[in-house]
Amino acid sequence: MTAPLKVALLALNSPGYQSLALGYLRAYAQADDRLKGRVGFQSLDLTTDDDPWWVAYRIIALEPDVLAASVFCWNALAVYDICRIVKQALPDVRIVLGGPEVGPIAANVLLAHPEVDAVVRGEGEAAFADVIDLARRGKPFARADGVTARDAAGAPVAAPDRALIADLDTIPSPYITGVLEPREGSAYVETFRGCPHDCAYCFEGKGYGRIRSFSRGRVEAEIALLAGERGVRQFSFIDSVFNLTPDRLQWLSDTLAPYAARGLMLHTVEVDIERVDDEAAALLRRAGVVSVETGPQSIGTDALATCRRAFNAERFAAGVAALKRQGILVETDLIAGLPGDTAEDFLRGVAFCLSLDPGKIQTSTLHVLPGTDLYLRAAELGLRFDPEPPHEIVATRDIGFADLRRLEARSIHIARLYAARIEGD
Amino acid sequence: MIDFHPIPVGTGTACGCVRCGSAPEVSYASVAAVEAHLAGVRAMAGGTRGETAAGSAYGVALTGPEPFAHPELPALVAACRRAGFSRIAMETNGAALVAHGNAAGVLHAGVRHLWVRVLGADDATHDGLTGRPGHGAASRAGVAAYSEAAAMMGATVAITAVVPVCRHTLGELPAIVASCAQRGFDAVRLESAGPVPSQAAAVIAAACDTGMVNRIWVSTEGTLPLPETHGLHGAPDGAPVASGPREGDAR
Repeated sequence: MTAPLKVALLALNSPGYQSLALGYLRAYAQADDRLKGRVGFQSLDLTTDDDPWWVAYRIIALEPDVLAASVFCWNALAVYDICRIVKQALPDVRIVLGGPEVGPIAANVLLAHPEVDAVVRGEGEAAFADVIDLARRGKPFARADGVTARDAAGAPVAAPDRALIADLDTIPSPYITGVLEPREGSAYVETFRGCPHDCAYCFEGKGYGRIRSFSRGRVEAEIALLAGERGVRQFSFIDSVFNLTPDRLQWLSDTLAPYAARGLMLHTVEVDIERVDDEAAALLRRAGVVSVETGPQSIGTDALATCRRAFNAERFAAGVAALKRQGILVETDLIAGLPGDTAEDFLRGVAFCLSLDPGKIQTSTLHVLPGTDLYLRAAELGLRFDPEPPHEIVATRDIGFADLRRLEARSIHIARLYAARIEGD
Repeated sequence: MIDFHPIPVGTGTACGCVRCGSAPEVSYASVAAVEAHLAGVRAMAGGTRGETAAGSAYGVALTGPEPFAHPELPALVAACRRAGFSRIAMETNGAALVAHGNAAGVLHAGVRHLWVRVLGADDATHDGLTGRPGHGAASRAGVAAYSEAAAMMGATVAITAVVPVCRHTLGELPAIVASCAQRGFDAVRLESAGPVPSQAAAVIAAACDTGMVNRIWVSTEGTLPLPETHGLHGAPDGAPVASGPREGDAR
C-alpha cells in the first residue's frame, strides 16, 4: 500500500489573525474523493512575526511531499525565504504557491524563484485539489486548469484559466468540518466573493468579475455554530461590502441580532458608506457592528476618476453621521500616492476626514498590487514603484519620492494626534 | 490640522534659552480665570463640547509657565474636562513628570498630549541653555514615565518635543531631532524663539531630513525659514492656534 502523500499548508498571517484561505483549501481537498485516505494534511497557521528559519525548521521536520503557501504582498518576501530554505533541505519537495500576490504574475514568480514548482492562479480550492491529486499520481502540475507550472526544461507553462466555482456551497465550511477552530473568541466569516466596485488600485474582487454568494442557510449555520457552540464573541466579516444590498443587510442583521444581544461584536466591517442612512446604521448596530471601515481613499477629482471611484462628500458625511448616531466608530481610509493626486489633494482628504470626526483616521501609501489596473497601467500613469513586494509606491507624476515619504510620516502623526483623546466622555 | 486653543496658566514660559536673555517674570492664573478663558473658547467654538471638528481646532493646551508649578494644576485639568474637551495638551519642561507619580497623575486626569521643551541634544547642553542643572536627565526620565504609564493604561498619547529655535540651538537642531527620536518622542515642533541668520533654512531643512531618516515627524513654525523643497514641514499639526475667532470655529 502506498504511503499517503504528506501536504503541509502554510500561511503567515498578521499577528493575531488566522487564515480562512488555508481552512477553505484543506476542507475542499479533504472532501475530494480522489484524495480521501491518500493524502495527509498539516496546517501551519503562523504569523509574519515568526522567523523564516524557524518556520522552515518546522516544515522540514514534517518532511512534506508538497508544501503549499498562501502569498500576499505583505508576507511574500518571508514566504520566498522559507521556500528557498526548505527546497535546499528537501530537494524533492514540490512547492505550490497561491494567493493575490502570485496568481496574477505566476510566470514571473516561477522565473524569479526556481524553488517554486507551481502557482495557482485565481480562486484556489478546486485547482489546489487537482494539483494535490496530480502530485499523488506523479503527474505534471500544468495539467490542472488555473495553474502555471514548469515544463520538463523548467520553463513556465500555463494551463488554461479555470472557471470559477459556480456554487460556493460546494466548498465545505472549514468551521463546520472542524478544519479551522476559532482563536481567542474570534472568527472570520465570508458570505460572498467578489466586489461590486472596480477600483483600479484594489485586488479585493480578485478578478472574479461578479458576485457569488454562499447560501443563506450555509452562512446561518456557520454563524450559529461559531456564536453558539464555539463561543465566538467577535466576528470579522471579510466581505468586500457588508451592506451589499438593503435586503442582504436586513438578513444579516436579523441573523446576527440574537447573538449581538448576548454580546457578539463585529469589528471593522467594510461598508459602502454613501449608502448608509439612519435605517441602515440601525441595522448595522443591531447586527453587533461596533466599527466600520470605509474610504474615501482620496477626494481628488483626478485620482477618483483614474481609480474609477465615485465620491460624494455630502453623502459620505451623512453616512458617517448616521453611524455615529448609532455609536459606531468609523475608520476612514486614505491612500497617499494615487495617480492624479497632488500632496495638497491628499492633505485635503485628511482635513475632510478630520472634519467629520469619524473616530479613526487610517492613512497608507499606495501599493501597486499585481493584478490591479494600476499595476498594468503603471508606466502609462507615471507610477514608479518597488517591483519587490509589497510594491510600495516610490514616486508619481505629481508627488516625488521625498514628499511621498513626508506625507506618510505627517499623516501618521496627524492620525496619532487625532487618536490621542479621552475616550468615553 | 488638529490644532489646540492655548489656555495660559499664567505669564512666562515653561522653559526658554537663558543665553537669549533672562527668563520673564512668572505669575500664575487663578482657576477661575482659566475657567473663564475656557468658557470663552467654548463660546467662540459655538458648541457645548468646545471642539470644532470643522474648524481644525480640536482641543486645549495648558501653556505659559511650568504647569506643574501651578498650585492647583489638577483643578485646571479638571476644568478642561468639564468644559468638554477630550484632547488636552500640556506644555512642560518635563522634569516634574518624574516626581510624585506626576506622569501617571496627569495621564489619569486626562492629559493625552504632552509638549516637552527640549533645548539640547544631550543633557549637558539642555541644562546649560535652560540654566537648570539636572533638568535634562529629569525630563528624559519624565517622558519615559509618561510613555510607560500610557502603555500600562492602554491610552494613546502624543508626545511632542517643542524646540525653541534661537541662535544658540540652531546649529544643534539635527542632533536634537535625532536625540528626540531616540527618547521616544512622536514628533518635533520647531518654534521661533528669536532672530536666526538667513542660512538657518539649510540647518532647519537638515533637521527635518534627520527626522525623516529617524522616523519622527518634524514641523516648523511658519516664521522659520524653510527651503521650498521642504514645504510640507512648514505647517505644524497639533500646535497652538492664535486666540480669537477663526474661520470654522463657529460651526
